[in-house]
Parts: sequence; C-alpha cells; structure tokens
Amino acid sequence: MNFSVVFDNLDLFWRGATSTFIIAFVTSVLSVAAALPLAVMRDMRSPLLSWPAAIFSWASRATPALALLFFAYYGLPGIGIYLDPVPAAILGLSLSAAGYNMEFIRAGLQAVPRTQYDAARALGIPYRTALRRIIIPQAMRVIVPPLASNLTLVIKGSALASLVAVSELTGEAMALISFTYRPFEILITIAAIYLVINSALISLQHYLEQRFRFG
Amino acid sequence: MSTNSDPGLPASQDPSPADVKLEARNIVKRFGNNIILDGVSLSAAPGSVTAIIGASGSGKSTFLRCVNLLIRPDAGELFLDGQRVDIGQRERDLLRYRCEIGMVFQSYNLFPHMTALENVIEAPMIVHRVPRAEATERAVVLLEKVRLGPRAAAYPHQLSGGEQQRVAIARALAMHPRVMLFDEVTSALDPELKGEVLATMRDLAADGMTMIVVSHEMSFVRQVASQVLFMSSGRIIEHGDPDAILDRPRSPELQAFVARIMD
Repeated sequence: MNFSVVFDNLDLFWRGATSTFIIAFVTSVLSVAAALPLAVMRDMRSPLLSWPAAIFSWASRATPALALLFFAYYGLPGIGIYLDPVPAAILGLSLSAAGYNMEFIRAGLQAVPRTQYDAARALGIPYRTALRRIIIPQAMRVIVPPLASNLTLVIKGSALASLVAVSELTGEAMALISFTYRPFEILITIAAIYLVINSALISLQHYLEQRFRFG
Repeated sequence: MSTNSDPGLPASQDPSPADVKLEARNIVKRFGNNIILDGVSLSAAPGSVTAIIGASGSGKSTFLRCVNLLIRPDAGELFLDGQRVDIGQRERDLLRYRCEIGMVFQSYNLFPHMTALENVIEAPMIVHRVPRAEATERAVVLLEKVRLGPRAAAYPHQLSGGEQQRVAIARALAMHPRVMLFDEVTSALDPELKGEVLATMRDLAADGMTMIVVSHEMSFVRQVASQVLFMSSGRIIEHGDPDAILDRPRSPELQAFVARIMD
C-alpha cells in the first residue's frame, strides 16, 4: 500500500471533491425547493394543480436517474437547449430526486391532522402562513429522516455526472487509476471523501430532528 | 341554487335587527345527496348564551362550522351585528370574518410545537400584526383569566386535557372575537376535568360574551344558557328557555332525547 499516489495528486482529489460537493449541494437544494410546492399541489382539490404534480411524481420516479441525466445533456440539444455538463448534471439529478422528495414531504404533510388546518382557519390565519408556521414544522419530524436518506443517495448518485463529462470525484478517480494502476489507495480515498460529505448531511439530519422534536 | 351567495347582491330587505349579535337564517348544507342542514336559523342577542343540543349526527357541529364558515353553506344568510356576511366570497376574504368569531374545538387542536403562550400570541401576531411584546402582554392576561398563568411556558403535551382546552379558549379570545363558538368542548375530557373548563365558560358568559355552545352538559345548559335549540335530522325541532326545553319537551324527538340523557 502506498498512498503517495494520493498525496501527489491532492489537487485532483480536491477538484473532484469540490465538483461533487457543488453538484450534490445544488441538486439537494433545487430538488427540495421544487418538491415542496409539488407536494402541496399534489393534494389540492383542483385537478389543474394536482394532475401535473401527480404526473411529475410518476414520471420522475419511474425513470432511471441516468436516463434523465442523458436526456438533459444529449436530449435537450434536440430542441435547441444546450446545457454545459455541470448544469445538465444538476438538472437531470434534480428531476430524478424531486419526485422522491415530493412523496416524502407529502407523507409528512398528510401526517398532520386536518384539525390543525381547522384551528388555523378558525383563527383567520391564511393558508400559506398556516403551512409555513403550523403545518410544516409539525410535518418535519416525518419528512426529515427519509428526505435526508434520499439526499445521501443524491450525493452518491452525483457520480453519474462523470458520464456526461463532468470531472467529479468518481470520474477523476477512475481517470487517475487508469494511468497510475493504484485502484486500492485511490478508491479508499474517494470512499472516505464521500463519507465526510455524507456525514455533514447526516449531522444536519440529526440537528433538524432535534430542532423539530416536541411531544 | 345559492341565491344569497353572489357578491354584490344588495343587502337583504329585512336586515337583522340591531339588538341581535349574530343571526343565521335558513342555513342549508348538503353533502352529496344527504341534507345535513335543512334550513337552520338562530338569533343570538348580545351577551346571550345559546345552547344547541341534540343526538350525534343531528347536524349541530356542522351548523356551528357554518356559522364561522369553516364549512360553506349551500344556502342561507348570516348577519353579524346587523351586517350581512357574504358567504360566497373567496376563502381569503372569509378569514377576516372568522377573526370575529372565536371557535373552540372538542379536540382542543392546540399547535403542539408551540408553548401555551406561543399558541395564544400566534394569530394576533400573524393576522393582526400585533408586535410580539404587546401580544405577549395580552396573552399573559388571558392565560391568567383561564387560571393558567404559571403554565404559560408549557407545551400542550405537558398539559392536562382541561388545561389544553383552557389554553384553546385563551387562544380564541386573543383575537377579540365578537362571538365565541364552543363545539362539544368538554366531550373529550375526564369528568373531573370538565368542571374547570365549564367554570371558564361561565366566567366568559358573566363577562358578557355572546356564546353559542354545542354541549351535552345539561346542568351547564340549564344554569348558563339563555336559550336552547334542539336539533334533530338537520332541523331545529324545538327552541326555548332551558327549563321549558328540558322539563317540558313537546316533540317526541325531544322527549326521547331528554329521557336518554337523564338516565
């Protein structure tokens, strides 16, 4: 075992890790931000709102992340939309993650008793304010554990971005292996880096679980 | 068929008299083919306590929810302080009317992630934009009034059912309602906890609050109510002062109901 191959190429690992972190972070934020309104729309009475959300949920979850990623990079130019590798990767991965996020958020919202909406309405609190201040804080303890698990999948799934020419951690590692022939040391190193990034997310999960604990 | 719900309709030719706090006329509600409320009317004088009694399924709670428009009636009219309430307006516009009508629920419905005090200040801060300090000052007074001053920092799960229900009363009062609705507020409570909630309601009635109370507590109804409405199958079958209703029931429905509850 000789980790000098790692120390000699620290800049490459740093670049790959940064790229992985950015893709994972932006994808997490975008996919959660898109999933929240979709989750609310999904259970609205108006079919004009609930149907698009239902179709998105179905299509997003029933399609492989890799297919969505290829579609964003190789497919969209067919209709005149050209995305650089990183934005294409973020778009494809976000579309894939949002469908799952949406269902976790929806399960959380449904876990809050209808009577909480009644209490808010009876006090004259507008629907959106009630969602933000009364419903979502209560839904959080149901939402956070599965949502955080899904986001760890997003971080790990960001390796797929190497397939659309993004130099992220796994892609850079495989390239380095191909001319150094030190797979063991290199793969151990990137596994450790994924562990560190995901541990940050899991810490955030524990923080949120504590923050929204009551009763 | 909701002839009264078009916005912009001229006020009814027969406006509610000024000495009536709240009036409901011929409220109709259907769910599918079932008629839940079949023309229910009520007139509550300022400071009066109206008790609504009846078997479960008779439409009492649905009627109460129509009064603050948590449920939108299919037909009928509502007047608050002589002013006609447009029951057809958008949900957003109904919120202002609901602020005028406090409601307390059978299952308390406190916000479980907020302390007693936070429950009370939430709506005044959000809806009336009262500054936190001012809302807190008033909430402390209200919590004292329902004898929960020392429990202001407790979360709902740390409170007994009776205490939770008294917080719910303080929460509704914080909006300065003109009328208070009570929907079987002691039904979920152990017998020894009912008394403290009923005592709070007695205090409120003594302060001159106009109250509409759906209740199975017949001794409370007898002592506190100014008028009693008996509902059966979505209609008001009898209407009168408590002694007349409870001691001299005329209709077979009320006779059967009184016989059941007196057991």
